Amino acid sequence: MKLQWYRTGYLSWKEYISYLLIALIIGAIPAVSIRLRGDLIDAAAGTATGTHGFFTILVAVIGLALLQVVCGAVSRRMAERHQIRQSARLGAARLEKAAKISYPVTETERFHALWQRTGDAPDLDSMLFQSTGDLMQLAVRVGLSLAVLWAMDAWTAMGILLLLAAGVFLNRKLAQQTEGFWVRYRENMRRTDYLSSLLMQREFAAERKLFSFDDEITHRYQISFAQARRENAKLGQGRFRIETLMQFLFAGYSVVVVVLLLRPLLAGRITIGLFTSAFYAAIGLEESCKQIYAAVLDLHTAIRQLGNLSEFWALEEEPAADEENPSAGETIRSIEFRDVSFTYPGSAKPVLEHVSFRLEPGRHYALVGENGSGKSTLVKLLIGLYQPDSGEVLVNGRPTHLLSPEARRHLYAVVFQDFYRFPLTIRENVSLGLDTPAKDAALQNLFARMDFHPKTLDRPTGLDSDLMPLYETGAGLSGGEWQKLAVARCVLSQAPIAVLDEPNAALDPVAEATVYAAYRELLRERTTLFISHRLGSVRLSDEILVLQNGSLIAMAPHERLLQECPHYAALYETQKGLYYAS
Amino acid sequence: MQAETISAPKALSYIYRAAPGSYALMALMGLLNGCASILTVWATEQVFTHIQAGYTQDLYASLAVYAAAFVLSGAYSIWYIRYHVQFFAILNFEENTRQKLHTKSRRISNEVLETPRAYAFIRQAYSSRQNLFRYGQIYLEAVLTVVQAAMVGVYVSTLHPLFLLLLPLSAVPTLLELLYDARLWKKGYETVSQCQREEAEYEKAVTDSTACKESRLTGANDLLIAKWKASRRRRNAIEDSKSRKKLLLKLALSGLECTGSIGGLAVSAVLLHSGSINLPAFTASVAAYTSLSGILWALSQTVGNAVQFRQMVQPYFRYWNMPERGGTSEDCSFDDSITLENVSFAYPNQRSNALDGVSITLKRGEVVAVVGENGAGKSTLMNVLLGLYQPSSGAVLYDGRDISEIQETALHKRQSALSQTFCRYQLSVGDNIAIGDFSKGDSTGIDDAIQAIFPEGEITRDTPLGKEFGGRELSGGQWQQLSCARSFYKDSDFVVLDEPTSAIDPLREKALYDAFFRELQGKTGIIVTHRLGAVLLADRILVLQQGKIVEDGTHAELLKANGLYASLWNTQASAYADCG
Repeated sequence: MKLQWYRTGYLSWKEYISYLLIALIIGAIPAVSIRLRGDLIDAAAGTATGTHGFFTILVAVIGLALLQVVCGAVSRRMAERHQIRQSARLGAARLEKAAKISYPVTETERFHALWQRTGDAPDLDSMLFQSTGDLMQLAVRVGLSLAVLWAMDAWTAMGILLLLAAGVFLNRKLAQQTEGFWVRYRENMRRTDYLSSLLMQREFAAERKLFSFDDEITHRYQISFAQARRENAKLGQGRFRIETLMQFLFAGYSVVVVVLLLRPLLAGRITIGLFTSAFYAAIGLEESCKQIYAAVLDLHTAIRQLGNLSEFWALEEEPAADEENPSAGETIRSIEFRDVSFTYPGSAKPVLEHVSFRLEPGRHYALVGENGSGKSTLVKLLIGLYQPDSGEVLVNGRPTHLLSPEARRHLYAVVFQDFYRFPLTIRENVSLGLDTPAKDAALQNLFARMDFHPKTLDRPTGLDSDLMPLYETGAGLSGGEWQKLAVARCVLSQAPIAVLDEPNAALDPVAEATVYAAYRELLRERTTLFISHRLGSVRLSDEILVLQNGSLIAMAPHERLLQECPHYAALYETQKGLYYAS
Repeated sequence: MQAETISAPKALSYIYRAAPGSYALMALMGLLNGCASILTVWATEQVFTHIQAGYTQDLYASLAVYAAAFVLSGAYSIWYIRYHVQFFAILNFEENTRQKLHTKSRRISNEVLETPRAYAFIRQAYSSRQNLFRYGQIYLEAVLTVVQAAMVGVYVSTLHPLFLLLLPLSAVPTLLELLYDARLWKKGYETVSQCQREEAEYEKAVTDSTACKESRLTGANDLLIAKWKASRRRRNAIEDSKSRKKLLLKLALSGLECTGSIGGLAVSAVLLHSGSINLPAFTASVAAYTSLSGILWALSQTVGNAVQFRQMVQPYFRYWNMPERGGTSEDCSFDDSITLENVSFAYPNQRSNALDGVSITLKRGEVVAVVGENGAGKSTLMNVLLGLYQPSSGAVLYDGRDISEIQETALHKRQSALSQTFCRYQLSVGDNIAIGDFSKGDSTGIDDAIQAIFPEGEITRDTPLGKEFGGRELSGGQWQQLSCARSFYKDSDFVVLDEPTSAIDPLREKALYDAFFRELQGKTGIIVTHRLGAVLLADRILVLQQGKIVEDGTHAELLKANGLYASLWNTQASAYADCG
């Protein structure tokens, strides 16, 4: 099976084989029971031909039933045990894979779609385990029962086989009909669910009320719902037709079985007891066949769904750590952009065009430009999240896009504009750039410097208060406090290059000044790149890079830029004008 | 908010009333299914009677009945359960209940939503709606299966009265297991579902598009995955012990369980052996037992689920207890003034006040700037002024009228606002603006606004936004400008702008502020900002500190007062000072 490769190492063969063995026993019991039950009925009805007494046979029948119950319980436990472990293992593997996927891929819709579609893959995988066991059990049951019936009357067995084959054919049709059924069903509902969230979720509550968009969105929601329902009902109709046909087939089957069995009965080749028992067995086979179809269908769905997992597994990963990568504590000799151009996939217009510059170690740089001038893209190229379309981004002569995540962590500390609020403790959140969690003293010292005193710290859990949004403590930090936390993480990290992308957007002027002073001082030894619209802070940098429409139009200290770069002068004077109106 | 659990009868009556037709049909189909079982048993007896009598024409007639009973039972499972319920009944129900949730959400008072519990709470309510239909179905099915079992039981007792005594016995092990299962499930439920929610948060933090770039630069992923695994281990330990205990019970009960699976055959055989019944009656009773064990199995599934589902539907009903805002009056005006009278506000479950005894009056046509440090209560003040939050004490008066009497739709009709936490709608660009006022009809201005934000012309009114549905992703600044355009698209007399330019570059910022003050002419306006340069244009400046108004006046007055405002101003302005 093509799924083998990721199962390797997860599946215990001993476990699997004993599971199949038990399935074998469970499957064999009904077949063995056919003759025994026939004898029982004959002995009871007084049409017996054998020598065993009624009660001896009764005890044997009950013994077999007991064995079946015990085996069934054990088999179920094995399946559950496997399900519990396997789905945890695969779930962890899926998450680990997601963590390793190369950054540009995570920006695509495909990544998010695959992530969602593989959501139930861990459970489906254990369904494979169960389904193969079920199939084994059912196949043994059908095969052996048919053999017993064949020994009684070949025509009967052949007739039953023929009807079951017809069932298999219909079932194949059904499988085709329902291929990807629930995936499509959910896809159809996705838009509807989004509209529903606009009408319900907290993040939309304020605008929902202010703009009273309920009516229009409800209207759209209803249209979308009706459409999804129509499409889904169409899916259901196809399935319904084939299932109905199968039901008729089986109704016919039960009649044909009686008629077929009548021949040997009337010819006196089988007793009435055996006839009755065979009749039960044949009816039971019909039930088994339905179960076989269900198991095959499950298997089919599982394998198809797991196809998504294969696709997910094939997504490109981040570069692995190798000797080429810089290690912790490496000194920076040079940071260089050489004629770098970059265009987002699917977009016609380049974001950056022929950008070249060189940053000297230990100096402080700033990056300014209008919205959409390419600042964030430049940062992502610098830290190696993107690979340039042409040109090179080099740190110590090495292309940055080849850096492993580990190497990046040692090289860069970055505060992003839209930093994520990780559901970790405060200590863990600020220690993310370190190899080991920071000590209390270090943190208290830093927090005091940055004037960071969230109320959450007063809780008994202190620095180890969890910021998980599900819990009471998680709401402890305001937007500004989160921003300070992100800056603290950057300062605490020992990485030689620090990048700060609009780190002050949510801070008031006093807090901004405090934080800015703190990290200017705390980051003194390091190379920093500071991105901000607040030109009053920017101008203190050693050199300022000015981006306009994807081109680097100037790079110089503030004073020189004011004279030489009209665009920068315009930006600066506009903002200054707000404070010193002429 | 954390109300007592709703009783089963109340929940059920709610559910049945939500879809009476569906459930009536379900009852009808269930009875039909019971009749199919009886018909099968009867036909079996007939078939064997005729076989014993020899090969006659009547045999075919009884076989035909047998086949018909078979088809009839298919109508229930295939047409009804697998087709009608899945594609019509559930969806109708779903549409109905979601609509109810939406309507309730519309009425919930906004400040109630500002707790972490509300975050979890809405999500739980939303997903628990999916269990409602099934919950109603479970009870109805339980009743129907009991009716079916009784029908079959009465029928076989006509074959031999002893059956009436023995039949219930075979239900005992199933029932015992059921009760035990339910107990085990309930015991672990809280921990298991809490673990599941935590795991979902960790998964989100690993895969969220915002988190991805950060986690690739820090050790966050390792930590998140380790926590995910720990939570999963905790959950698995519970699940595994549950499964182990179930096995032990099953083994202990295997003897009894046997009476269920084989008891019918054994008892019937003994009766046949003793001559109490004849062969056709024997086959009929075996058929009845088989059908009964099927029914009992279904019942065990059903009732076993009932306990779980009862727990799972709770959040849906608890949602109805979320406090609503109320207000009945439909007229609302602020032609003259907006006044806060000694207003205090505390967030739910928080001891300290976010606003503390604030009294202010805004005159029509006035533009007021609000400044203050982080956490001073600025955004809270805005929400109170807009009537989105209800003050804990004190009153908000529009033209002298307490706004708590006014209906929300009327209240917000002539207001507009841009919040710090503006929404990014995964709709088209045009809709992102038009959503400010869908009823406006007149859509002129939308294209101009789009042209101003996206001068390259690559993005038009119909461009879909948001990655989730394959649309374009915008930068933070572009989203913010779009939401600015939204706020001004709506016609209004009272506008609140909370940090409207935090992500916007200086050139556009200047242009935007000029536009703001142009748009605000003749309206009442409030601007909250950290960029004090923009404050100069306001008529008046309010300074907030720890929930109190500490300064109130014009720029010149406040500078002269040399208080908090002056210190904020000097800090920021000095950055631009020495070279100008």
